[in-house]
Amino acid sequence: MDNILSVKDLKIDVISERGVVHAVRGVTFDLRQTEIHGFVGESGCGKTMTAKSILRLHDEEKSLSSGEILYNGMDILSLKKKELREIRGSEIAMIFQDPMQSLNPLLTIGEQITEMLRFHEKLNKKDAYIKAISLLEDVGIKPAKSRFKQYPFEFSGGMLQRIMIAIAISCDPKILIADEPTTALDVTIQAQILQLLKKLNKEKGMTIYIITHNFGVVAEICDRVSVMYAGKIVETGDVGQIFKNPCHPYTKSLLESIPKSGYHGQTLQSIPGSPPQLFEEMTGCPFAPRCSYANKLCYEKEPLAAESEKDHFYTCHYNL
Amino acid sequence: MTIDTTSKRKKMGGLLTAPAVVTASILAIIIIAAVVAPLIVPYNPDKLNLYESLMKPSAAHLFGTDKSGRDILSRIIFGARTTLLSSMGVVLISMIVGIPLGLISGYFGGKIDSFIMRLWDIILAFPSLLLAFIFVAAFGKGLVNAILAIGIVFIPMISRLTRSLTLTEKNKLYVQSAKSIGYSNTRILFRHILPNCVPTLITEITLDLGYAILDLAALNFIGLGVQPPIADWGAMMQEGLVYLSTNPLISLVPGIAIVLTVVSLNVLSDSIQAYLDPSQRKLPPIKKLKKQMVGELIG
Repeated sequence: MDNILSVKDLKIDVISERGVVHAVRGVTFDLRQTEIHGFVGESGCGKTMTAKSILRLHDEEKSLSSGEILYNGMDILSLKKKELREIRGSEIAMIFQDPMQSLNPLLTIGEQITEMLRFHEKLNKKDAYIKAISLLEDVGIKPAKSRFKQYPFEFSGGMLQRIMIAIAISCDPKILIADEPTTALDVTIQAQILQLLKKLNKEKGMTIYIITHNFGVVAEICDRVSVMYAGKIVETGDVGQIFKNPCHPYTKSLLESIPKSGYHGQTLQSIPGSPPQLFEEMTGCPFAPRCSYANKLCYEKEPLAAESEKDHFYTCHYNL
Repeated sequence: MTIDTTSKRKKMGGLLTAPAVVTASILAIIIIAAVVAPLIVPYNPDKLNLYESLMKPSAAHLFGTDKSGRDILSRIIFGARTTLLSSMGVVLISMIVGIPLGLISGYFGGKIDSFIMRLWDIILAFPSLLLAFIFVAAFGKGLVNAILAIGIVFIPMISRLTRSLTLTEKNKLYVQSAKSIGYSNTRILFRHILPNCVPTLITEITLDLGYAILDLAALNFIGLGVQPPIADWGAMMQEGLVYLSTNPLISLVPGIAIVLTVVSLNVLSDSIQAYLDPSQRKLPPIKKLKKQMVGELIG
């Protein structure tokens, strides 16, 4: 399969009041055509920052970035503002964690969908209306015609996330970035939204970059997974490989800390300690202080990527 | 719940509450009176008649006469013209300049923000009336210059308010998602952020209208604004101060006119504010809803 987007050695430093935060510290990955690629990791490990930088939505005045994000042979990080605006929405679209906040409260959902269509596809009012209605039906908003005229507050969270998806896919983007699309929703709705994403992926051949901290979501829809820790990808591979044969101790502990049914009276597994502060440059493996296998080498030398089986990479000194 | 939003009448229904209707009619009466003033006034408002000065209210002069024997009712009606037009002019100037600059400085931040805000700081550093004096002194006295002067004095307030509203709005997720869709900054500013600031801005604007009437009156009092014998509520109030103990109506009537206008504007702006919020607009009146619910429970 071809790569549709490749990120090479992406580094983002954010300037904050407490100093420079190295939020993303050299991320390299490829998005393949029509795959669903999951990004997993604890809060603050750079998942969202990486996703935002693909659309260059990170605060550019307060951050420095280096590396390359190649899309169609163009480096997104060095595009002009106008070229960037043409990519945003029509080539790469994004949906956010909290659908309740992601829509303008003063415009009807119909106005917001048609605005997008008229802006990017230059449709006239009538065509935009027809397309918007069919989009709403596609994502399961029924009856689309009467709901078209309603305001965001008249919808539930799950419905709003469907509408966000409808807006995001309205211009047939090649890549859809979903930043924890189901975190704010309850479990039954979560499953419906995931099914919807999967359907889009199958029917329209859309590549999906999905951020989550839930391995259940990964198992349900993803083709490949990248596990992130402290601004780096520590392990990448097919979903089957990762679940069957996790090679990085962090992935292992994450998998172990998923609560399992059928084991009464056992304490929940967790990873001791918390992710490192990303203020200073780190020597050695960033996970070493929390790793039960760590030894002297881990604290002194940063591990390089190793391949355990085909397309399955991990960054650890030891093959566990 | 099915809502038929296609019918315009139903859409307007949310705006037609009792306070809104009452205040809107008061304002309508004042505005219509001001427009057709020459047709309805009983006397020429500027005609001096020293034989009839400082008269008490009577059938001939409903509110009495002032020190020069001019009919107060006629002057109130004519005064509405200058007062309303000039205060609206003041607010309009401050809005046209203040709101876009406030949006820009809040949204873009950085150097533009510092530049615009320091500009307003300079204006705010002077007492507002002093600044108006300087302006009038430089460009000559008269109503137009007084409006310009006070309009400029009012810019920083509305501009800073717009800026702070923009600052809270721009960090909301819907602005982020508008950016991710690829909308231009102009579109995000004027179609997405500005409408969300309007409810608060309307309140500020109606308050400003009241302040503008008062500030203009102060300028008129020292003779820098409206030139006699033009009638103006603020000027009339100041003229009557001397006779407050003997003939209070000279000040009281224009005072009441100002209060009535400003209060009506505020109440009306509250109703408009509620109407602009779709989640409030679509709610049927609570009382009706309760009645309906009781009916359903009993039935």
